[in-house]
Amino acid sequence: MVTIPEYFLLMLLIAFAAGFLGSLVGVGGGIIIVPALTLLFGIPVAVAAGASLIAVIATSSGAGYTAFGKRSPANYKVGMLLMTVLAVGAVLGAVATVLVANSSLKWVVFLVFGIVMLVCALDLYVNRHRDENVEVVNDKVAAYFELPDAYYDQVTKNNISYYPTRVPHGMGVMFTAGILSGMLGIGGGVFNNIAMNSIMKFPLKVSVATSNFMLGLTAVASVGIYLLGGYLYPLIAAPVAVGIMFGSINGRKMMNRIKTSKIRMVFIVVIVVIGIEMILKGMPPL
Amino acid sequence: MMRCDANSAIRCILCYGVIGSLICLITGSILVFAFAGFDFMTVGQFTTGNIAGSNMLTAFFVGSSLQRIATFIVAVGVLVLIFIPISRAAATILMFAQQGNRKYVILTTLVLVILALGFFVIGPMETGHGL
Repeated sequence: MVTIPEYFLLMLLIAFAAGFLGSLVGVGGGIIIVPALTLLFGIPVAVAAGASLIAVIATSSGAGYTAFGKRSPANYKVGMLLMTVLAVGAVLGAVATVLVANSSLKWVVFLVFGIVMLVCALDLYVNRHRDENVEVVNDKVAAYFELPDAYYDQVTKNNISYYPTRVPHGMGVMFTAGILSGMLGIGGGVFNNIAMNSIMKFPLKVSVATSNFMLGLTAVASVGIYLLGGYLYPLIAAPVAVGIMFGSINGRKMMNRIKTSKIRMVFIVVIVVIGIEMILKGMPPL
Repeated sequence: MMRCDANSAIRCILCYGVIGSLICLITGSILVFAFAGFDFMTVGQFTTGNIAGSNMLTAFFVGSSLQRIATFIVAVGVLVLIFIPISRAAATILMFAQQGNRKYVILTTLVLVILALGFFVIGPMETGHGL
């Protein structure tokens, strides 16, 4: 039996680690929080998912609190552009869930996306020494949406200009990610980075910072369901939120100090873990 | 005429939001322990309807007055946290408006409208709390 003081202390530590990792690679931390709450403390899945959404908002806010006004690499324009298609996809996904509840095809979706994630991880690993995108790409769609920009890299002490490309492809991935997020309840952080870094060729630090900004908004769209459904427990969420905020503040400070290649390696490990988790969910029960 | 700086507004929202939320969450949690005893229950009892098990809808209506205040403070901290991204997006609209960037004012407003739709319409529909 775990007492409440023990729960608070343990969750503060676990949430700190989740927030640190989340803000470092631009994911929400739900992959750590939900299993911790359900497996370690026996908390119902719906209650854990509600606390996890609060954790995602805390990661986003903590990372933004550290970065904003200090030459944040976040690109708010691409964030809002991708949020538009992501939000439309998420609403359609939620509606589709009502229409095709418990579809037998869900396992195929999990399996396909698990494999896609592993392929993306392999691609990132093979190209891990690739330079950040300093080459000029004349992409008309990116220019129309005013996406080319620059950020200050505190490690190299340089202003790095970037010229993103394949905007429609990135928007397509985010639209699909939105539908899947609405249908399957999977997080969007990994997809944000795959769309921005792997497909649209944004520098990884820009992708991570922008993803942190987007994650908070995405979580707010879903939190209403848990709030009004009575699944949001303040005293369960409290240590999670406090730990995550301190973790994400420190993770974000670390992101500004370490090399992109190291962040990329951490991100590859996170994608592989989530990819395997999705494939296992897609496997038929033995 | 004094002009509001949108960048400062976003900075203030993040700064005061995060600090305010942390203060409420930490203070409320300490008060819960102080008023209800340090090891008054196990985590298994969290979701069974007693004071610590109050969800966000019932947090303000159960328990003794001191316990209610403590849980209320924690719930306020969670609510403040939820409203940080929404306020941040609203301030981003102001930032784009000041830059005269009509394209992104429309896009950001569209995002906020869709999010509001998800929060106030689709969420309640899925949980049976329809408007």
